[in-house]
Amino acid sequence: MQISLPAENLLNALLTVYRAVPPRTPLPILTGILFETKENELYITATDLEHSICTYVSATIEEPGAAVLPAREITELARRLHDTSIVKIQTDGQTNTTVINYAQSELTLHGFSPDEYPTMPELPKENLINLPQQQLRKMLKQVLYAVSTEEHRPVFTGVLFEFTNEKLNVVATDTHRLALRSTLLDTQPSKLINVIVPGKTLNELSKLLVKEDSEVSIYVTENQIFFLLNEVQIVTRLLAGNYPNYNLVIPQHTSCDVTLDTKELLEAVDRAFLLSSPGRQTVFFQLQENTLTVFLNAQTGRIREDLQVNITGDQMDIGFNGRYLMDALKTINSEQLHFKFTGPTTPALLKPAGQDEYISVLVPAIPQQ
Amino acid sequence: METRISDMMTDLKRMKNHIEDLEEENSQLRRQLSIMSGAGVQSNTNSPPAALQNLVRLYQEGFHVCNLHFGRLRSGDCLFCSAFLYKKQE
Ligand SMILES: [Zn+2]
Repeated sequence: MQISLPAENLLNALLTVYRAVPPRTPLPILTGILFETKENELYITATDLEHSICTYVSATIEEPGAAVLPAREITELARRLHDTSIVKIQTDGQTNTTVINYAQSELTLHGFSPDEYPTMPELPKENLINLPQQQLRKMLKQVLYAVSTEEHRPVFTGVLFEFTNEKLNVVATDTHRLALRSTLLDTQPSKLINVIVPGKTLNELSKLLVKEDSEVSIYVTENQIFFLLNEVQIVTRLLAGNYPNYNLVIPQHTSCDVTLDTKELLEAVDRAFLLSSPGRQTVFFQLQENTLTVFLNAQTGRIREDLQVNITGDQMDIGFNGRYLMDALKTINSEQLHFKFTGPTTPALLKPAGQDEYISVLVPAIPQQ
Repeated sequence: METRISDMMTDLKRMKNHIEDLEEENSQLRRQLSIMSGAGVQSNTNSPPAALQNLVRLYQEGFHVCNLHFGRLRSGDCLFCSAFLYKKQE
């Protein structure tokens, strides 16, 4: 293989796929990035076997071929080159040795055999649906915070995608909180399916959903999901298992509804949380007449803030994990929000005022005996 | 080779911790069950019913009562338990 391209283009492509390089792996070849030429393009791929990212960039192909180069070294080199300088990459297929020329200099890297690099799954013929990139990015942002990071119950480390004829629901829960975002679909999906997509991949995907007026195309097989956007293709294994019936935790009737200013509440909780300590993260609310009192008593001191709000229903005292509460409040993208309570120990619901597309459910903090 | 051995050691340590957690959980459950079977004797028909009271107590003592993790030690409050108890109260 012999190619040349501007350092800036090489770096952008490497940074896109680098997220899929595993930080630790028993398979040395996975610490490499696959380079392949196709017509006038250089395709670059990285994988940790769970998920793969592939992108392409135009390059001058002097001799077609493939190579696997050590990910860290090639990426860090590209980062240190001047944007406009031309990089020439020349691989000896016999020895898997690559010589990289830039300006008057030369770096030699010992790589791996491209024949041993895992083959990428094939894209299915029919896509499931196209979605505007910005729409998917906003949806993911509103649920990803609720994904679990604990591996012992894998389905909770993923986001449920529920496709119906006219709607897409995305759901995440770590069993302490739950987020549900829905959107009406302009076109029907080609299949009505439910899949659980690893949150880790979706976090990476959402960083790549940057283009306005551009779409992402989604393909699904029995155990994989593909996202195609711009010049990038991301594939990930779906999480096996049944997602619990999340409707069970969404309160249908509430006994106290409060309407208030989102930013005011977030700022009050944020200040109260200053007094929290690792074992004591509960921020308390007192709901009385038209005042919501946010308070926290701790060894280091105490805080109390009164917010003027609109309350209908029962008065009550209730506490929430301050971190979880702030995570939820940050996803409410409207000035006013509805905070609905079912009781001091049972689930509460938050939603942006005047919008039915998004809800966040929180479990109150109950002191352990 | 060295990293592989150290990986195995980490795995072994993790398994050991897991077994210890399981043993701890098991003994807590046993204690719990014995208390509850004793508590059943003095149960009355007043609302909320004894079964619900027992579930609430089990939850408050740090166990899941939801169908996802019933009887397992919980870390933090569980939305599914809380929703389940709420449905029972309704
Ligand atoms: Zn539970």
